[in-house]
Amino acid sequence: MKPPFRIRIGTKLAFFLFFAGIFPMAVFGFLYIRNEQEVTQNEIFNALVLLAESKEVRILEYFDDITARTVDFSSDGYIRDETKRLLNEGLDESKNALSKHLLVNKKPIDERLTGISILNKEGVVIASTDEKEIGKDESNDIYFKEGQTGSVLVRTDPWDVHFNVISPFVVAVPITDKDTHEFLAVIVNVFDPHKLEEILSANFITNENASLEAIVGNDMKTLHTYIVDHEKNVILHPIKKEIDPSHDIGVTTLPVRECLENGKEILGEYIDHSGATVLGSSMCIMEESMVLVVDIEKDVALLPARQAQTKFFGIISVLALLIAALSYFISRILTRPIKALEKSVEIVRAGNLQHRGFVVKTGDEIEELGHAFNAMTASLEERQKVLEEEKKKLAVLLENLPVGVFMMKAPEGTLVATNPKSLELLGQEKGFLQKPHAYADLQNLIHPMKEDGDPYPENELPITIALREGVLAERSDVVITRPNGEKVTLRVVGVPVKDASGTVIYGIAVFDDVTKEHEIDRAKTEFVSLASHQLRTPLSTINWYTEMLLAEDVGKITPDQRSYLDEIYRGNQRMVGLVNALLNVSRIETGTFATEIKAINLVDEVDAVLKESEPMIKEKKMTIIKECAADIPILHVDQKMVRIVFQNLISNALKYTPPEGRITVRVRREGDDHVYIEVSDTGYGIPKHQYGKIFTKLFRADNIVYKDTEGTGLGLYLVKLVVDQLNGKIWFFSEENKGTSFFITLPIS
Amino acid sequence: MSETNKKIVLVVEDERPLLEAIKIKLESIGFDVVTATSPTQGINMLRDIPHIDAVWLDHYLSVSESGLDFLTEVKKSDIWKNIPVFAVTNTASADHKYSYLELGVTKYYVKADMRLEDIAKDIKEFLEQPTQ
Repeated sequence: MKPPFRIRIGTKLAFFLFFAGIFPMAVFGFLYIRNEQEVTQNEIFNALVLLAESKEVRILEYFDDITARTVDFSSDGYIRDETKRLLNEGLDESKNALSKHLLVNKKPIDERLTGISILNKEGVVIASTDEKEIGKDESNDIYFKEGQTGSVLVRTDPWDVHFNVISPFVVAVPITDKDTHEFLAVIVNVFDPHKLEEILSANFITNENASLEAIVGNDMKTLHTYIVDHEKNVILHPIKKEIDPSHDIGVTTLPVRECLENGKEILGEYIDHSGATVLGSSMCIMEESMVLVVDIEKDVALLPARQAQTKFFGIISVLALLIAALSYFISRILTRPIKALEKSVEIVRAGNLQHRGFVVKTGDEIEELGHAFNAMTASLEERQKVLEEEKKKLAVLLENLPVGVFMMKAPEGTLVATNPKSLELLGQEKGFLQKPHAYADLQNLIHPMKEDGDPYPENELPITIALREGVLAERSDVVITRPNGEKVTLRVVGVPVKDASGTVIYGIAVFDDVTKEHEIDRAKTEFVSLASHQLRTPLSTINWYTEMLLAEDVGKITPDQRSYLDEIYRGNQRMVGLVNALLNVSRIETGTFATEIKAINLVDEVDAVLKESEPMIKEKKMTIIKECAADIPILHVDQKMVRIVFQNLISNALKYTPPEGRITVRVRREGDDHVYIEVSDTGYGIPKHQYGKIFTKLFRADNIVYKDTEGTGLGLYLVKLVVDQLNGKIWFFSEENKGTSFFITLPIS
Repeated sequence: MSETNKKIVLVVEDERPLLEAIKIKLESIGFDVVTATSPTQGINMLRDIPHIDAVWLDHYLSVSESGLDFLTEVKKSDIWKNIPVFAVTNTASADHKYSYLELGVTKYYVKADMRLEDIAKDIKEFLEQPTQ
């Protein structure tokens, strides 16, 4: 019964609560982290730019400073003079004095200085703070070439060593004659590059450095500040980076290219010469064709942000777990009563209607649902009880019904229920109808026939009519042959069972053995037929012989003889009337009255009866009033029956009214569908205490039983029988010694 | 001469007193009458006596035979089928009446309700009709 796939309501609720809790947090977190990263990056960039700018300023200051220092030395009077002398005279004394002056008086002025040399026009060192330098030919060095015409600052090649300093900064300035301004020599100041490197390195604290530290944390290992010259060599760097400064490594990173090729300073993210992704800022130092680069490894710089991110994710995860647990518990709390109810439903569904679910007092709709469920189960139990009782009653009824019952399912007519009597009637063993039979099979098994032995047409069988047309049908001439060969006539009634929409859902066939009834019917008819013959034959004999005697067919008769013969004849006529009445009563009572439907004009019947009665009317000098309306409809009934009604009512009126009385016959239409007949007299009337017996068989009222001896007590009984047969109504109004009125209404159709 | 002009009526009736009365009455109004008390006898009469003009037929003729058996035989025969048959019976059941009318009786009477004279006159009038 369970669907192949389902999600429990608890699961759904838990998921819903979980996602409702986690979703906004996730969105907020994502946006926050993204924003945080961007902000951090921007802050880093800002700090980098500031750092780069401040370093640039300091480098330029340094360059200006050492250049100014050298220029200052070149204009030193002593140096100028002694140099001129040395050049002119070439004396060792001058050379020593100058070198000494340089060493003793000049070098200590500036601690950055590692050495001072003076080169002659040919580029040869003529004086120096270090004796070993004297005599070196530096004519090929760029600072000598350029230093002849103006001050120049260069970083010597990485392999150059001056004054035991590898690749120092060298500032060269020309020394000119004080008076003639003639070019004499070149003074070369050699500066230890490490002093500049100190500036570039983080050894000194700047505000910018501090702010960068605040962002990226204490790990400043990857913060690099270095300078690349126009030949793309790193000329200065803060050592921390593992780039060997004694090698030409040809830095061609983005900031270097941008500056040297396009003169642009950049701020952004790029790959540095070691292959690391860095965030960096560059400054172009145009005069010296150098690039100052400040960068920091991106991963390191953003590490604190990442860490914050990770921490954040951690918090989110913990929160998610908490929410999940909370959701689970909430859903459990909410769904527990539903689960309990579900269990109860399962129990009830399995058939235990006595079970009542435990209702959790949640005070909400679920508790209401629980109560409603219990109420429903109680009502179901009650109904089931009623149904069981009904079923039992029906089963007992069906079991003991003295008629056969087949219940068939519409529309195919499959047999669904039978009773023992049905098997008995069909002469079949138990079990014959136990398996469900289709309608066609059933017909083949039972073979219903007409009385003449022809197969019974299927569409005329009552059960077929009930099943297919949904109307009740009855046939009394269904003949079946039992397995022992016995033929039985069945009366079969087919009844449809319909649902609320009027569709036939079942057909019930009720059948009974009417073989005996049919035989009795035949016997009855036979009896009436025979009786009428046997009773009438002697009466006819008396009739006709008396008639012939009276007609004097066999000779004259005397008046006395005639009067006697008249008595015999009349007496015999009464006997014939009595026999006829009795036969009619018997026919109607036994249902063997052979009706013959004809179009009957009631007025003609009244006239005919009045004509028959004319001798008596004349004899008793009766007044007859006939009031027949013009619009009396033609009735389609049996003429004999209409005659019986008028004959008896009119002959009663004549018999029981004293001479010279009045008889009224009225016939008219009553409403749309009835005719009204009235026969009134001014006769003896009916005693009040005998009103109730007036229509009973052989009854004769007290007041006339002595006055008239010819009455049979059958007339009004017969009239009542006929009126009932015609679905009409009869009643009367009477007053003793004043008269009686009989009223009849008959349906037109 | 007058003997030969008389019309002949065959009366088939098993009740002897009635048969006698019918014979007397019919003869009194100018018929020659031949009688039979069973269908077989009636058929024999028809066969033996040519020119029978009409038949008076009762229904119950014995336990096993009825006027219907006789009538069926008569109507089967080309010679006899046009002889008018008057069924006079005390069995007023509609079934019987229809059976007779279907087989082609000329008229159908209920004995007890009829005067003998009236039936006799009916037959006479019928036979004197110009078409006959």
